[in-house]
Amino acid sequence: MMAAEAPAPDISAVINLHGEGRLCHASLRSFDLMCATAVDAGIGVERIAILDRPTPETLETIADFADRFDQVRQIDVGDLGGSRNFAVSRARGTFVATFDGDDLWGREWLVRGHAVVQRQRRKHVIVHPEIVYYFDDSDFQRSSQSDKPAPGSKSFLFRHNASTALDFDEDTLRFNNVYTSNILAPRATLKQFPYIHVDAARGMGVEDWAWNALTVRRGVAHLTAAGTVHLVRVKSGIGSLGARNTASGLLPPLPSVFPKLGG
Amino acid sequence: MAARRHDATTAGAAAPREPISSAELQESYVRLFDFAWYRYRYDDAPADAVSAFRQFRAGVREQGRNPNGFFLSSWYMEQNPQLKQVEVDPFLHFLASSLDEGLRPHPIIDTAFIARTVPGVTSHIELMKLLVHGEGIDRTSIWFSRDYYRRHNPDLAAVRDLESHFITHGARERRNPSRDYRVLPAHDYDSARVSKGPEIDRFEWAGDSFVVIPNPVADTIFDQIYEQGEIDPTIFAPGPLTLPSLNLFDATDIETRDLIDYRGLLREFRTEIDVVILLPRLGIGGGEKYAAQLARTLSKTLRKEVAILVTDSFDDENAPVLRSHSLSGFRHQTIVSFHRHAHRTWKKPNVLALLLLALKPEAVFCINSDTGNATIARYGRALSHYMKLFTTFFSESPQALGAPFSAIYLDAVIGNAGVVSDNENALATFRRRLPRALHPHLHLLPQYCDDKSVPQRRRSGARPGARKLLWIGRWEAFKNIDFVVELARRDPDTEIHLFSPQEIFPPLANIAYRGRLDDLRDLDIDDYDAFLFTSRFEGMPNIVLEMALTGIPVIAPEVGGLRETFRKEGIFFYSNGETDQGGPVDQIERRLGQIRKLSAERLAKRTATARAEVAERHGAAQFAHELRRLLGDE
Repeated sequence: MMAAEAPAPDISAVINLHGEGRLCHASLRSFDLMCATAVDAGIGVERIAILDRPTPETLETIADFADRFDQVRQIDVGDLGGSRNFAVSRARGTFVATFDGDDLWGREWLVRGHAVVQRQRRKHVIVHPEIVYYFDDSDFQRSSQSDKPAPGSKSFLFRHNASTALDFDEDTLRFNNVYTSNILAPRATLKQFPYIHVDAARGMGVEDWAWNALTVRRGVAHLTAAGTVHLVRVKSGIGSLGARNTASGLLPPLPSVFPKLGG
Repeated sequence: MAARRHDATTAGAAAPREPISSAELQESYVRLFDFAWYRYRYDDAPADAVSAFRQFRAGVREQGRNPNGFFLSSWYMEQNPQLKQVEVDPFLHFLASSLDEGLRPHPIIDTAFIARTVPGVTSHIELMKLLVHGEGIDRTSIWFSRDYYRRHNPDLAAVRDLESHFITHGARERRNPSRDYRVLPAHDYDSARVSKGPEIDRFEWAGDSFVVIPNPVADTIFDQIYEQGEIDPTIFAPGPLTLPSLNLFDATDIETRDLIDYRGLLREFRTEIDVVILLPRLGIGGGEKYAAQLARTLSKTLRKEVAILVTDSFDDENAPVLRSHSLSGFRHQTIVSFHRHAHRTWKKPNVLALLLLALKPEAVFCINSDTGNATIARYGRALSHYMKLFTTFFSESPQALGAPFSAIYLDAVIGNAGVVSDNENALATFRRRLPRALHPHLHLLPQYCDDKSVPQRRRSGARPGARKLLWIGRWEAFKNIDFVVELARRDPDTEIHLFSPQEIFPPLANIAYRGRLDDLRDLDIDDYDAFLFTSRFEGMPNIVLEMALTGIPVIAPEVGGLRETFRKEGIFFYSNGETDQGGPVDQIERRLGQIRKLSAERLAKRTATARAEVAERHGAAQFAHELRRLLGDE
């Protein structure tokens, strides 16, 4: 007699790791707190860690957390979009949430994000945290003791705008990635719209930018969950992922998404 | 006093109040004088309450003394200028006025808001009593919370008068007045290109104007951020108290952060573009002339839609230049000052790369544009998937502003971009610098010269003496202008006419500045005996080709690619170095001597040779053919 398959979890929470090293320790603790908060709220969460060509330090760090994951997969893809696509193929949740291994997340994200995505009638939808806090560790050099930021402070807050908002202009995505990679969406949406493979050696990158543009262009609503926050680390001397992409000369494959300007 | 109008929104008002009696008004006036506050506020306040009250009353109008922390006499007078015409006590005026009149005693005390939200407030007297003697009132306007301001500003523990602190210091210091609102200098709000949110209130204080807008970040967000600080204290890097005051951006104002006018830039393109030409500016120079030839040939002969992106100057600097005949190739093209939309940003090459991705032209030609070369150097790998990239280097000689672009960018761009030059001499230099595998990326595209664009010389021989010389160019050191001056100094009978885009103040009487020359056809070419060209370095000097086409005898140095075109005895060459004929000026004098001595017939033969050599190598059809080949259209 075959064993009955466990019911599908509500959310597959996928954290992608590569060369984060010690930094992922804080991320994994934050991930743990957020998942536990969701479970306490009665949401079934499947935890998946994808290790794409991990560095020894990253492997060493995740070892402390391995027993908290339902799946830990080591792969050899070398591309964040490809890693996410792989994770989706292994995920069992009705919804999938993606996380980068050096960020932090407010504990309410999965609970509130789930509430938003669950009540949608649309087949395809993508939910983002309402606020992104970019914290730049170089600000320690000029840390303020008052409630007024010190001159030159680089940390800032960013508010995601829903693509359904009246003032949302999709052309903005030609010049800026206005959504972070921290998303929650039906698994079917991620299967329908897989991440575009990019080849950094050929100067292409920023897979989530192209993916955000593609889904917006295809009419998939990008919504936000009120009261949720994604904390993005900006490393001194290295900058944000966007800054690193700029320094590496990487561009998103936008011409495959947008029509030629002026047409 | 006017009867109070019944207002359904006056939640606290059970019934309209009876008019205030004079006695009640006087009594309230006295009771609303806050002696403790007055002593705290004014260093010169008398120690007894009666004397202090008298001092206040005597100075309320002229000195702007205030009775308590909620009424600002001077501000009130400014808001109600009609009071300056009559002898009236401003505080008394406020107490006697009706709530319906919308008067405020203080910039951040909204009487209508308090009347709506606090039960029982039906007059200014009651409102003022509540503020001065009452307890538990938190919000004095929809956007100012005393409790929030106190709680979030622990450094103000000793400050008694929070409202005054906010208008005198807090607003300037960008302290939030409450959880849901923030305050901005009105100038920042008014000058923002995109909405920063609806204006909730506006007030002025001590010459500064401020706007209150909603602050959409809820406390629950900050609670969650603070919680993450227990996991990673790095999140407190800017300072634990500052988080609610950090800059807040969203997708609609991200361009403000990046200092780029994206929307303005996109609006510039009404049609699909086939070829983009990147130019730093539209000046009159060899690079611009070459670009104009490219633009004309691409659009007229190859039927391509061309856009000129001016990367490093504003439109108004470029407009006058378009009148120049030599730049007529730019007329009827899409000309966009990329610089105007992106000059303030720190990531200009990134923006240009993204714009090129959006335009997705067949080809991009970068001509002397530093921003363009930097963009191709960094993003050429990615851009080359979607378009053919070309950058032009005309020579590897130092240019006026510093190192030549080829020295900086050749290695970084070649491979992802083809390198185009108008002369073989420059390409030979580049070949020596590059591995053989990259040589196929070097392309020769000689400029073309159109004899319809130049005046035709009618006479052939030199006049007796042949002492009138023509010089055209930018009056700059690297053009060896010292040779011109030395020549004029040695022979005062030789007259040299200069045409230059810059105004020149000639150092000698026999040198004359004749202005700027927008169209060579305006020149009386028969008035001159020879054209003198001087320059330390060149690629392929266009003006020499044009002058040779006119039929005037040309004296020029052996620079750049001139020997590639003039292989026979056409023009009169001299060397920029020492030769057995002496230095450059000695040689120029000798060439002048030759021109004077040659018979009209022999001089005509030489100028005809030069003209034929230009026609042979620099024909428009040949240029179009080479360009087509470069673009892979053949």
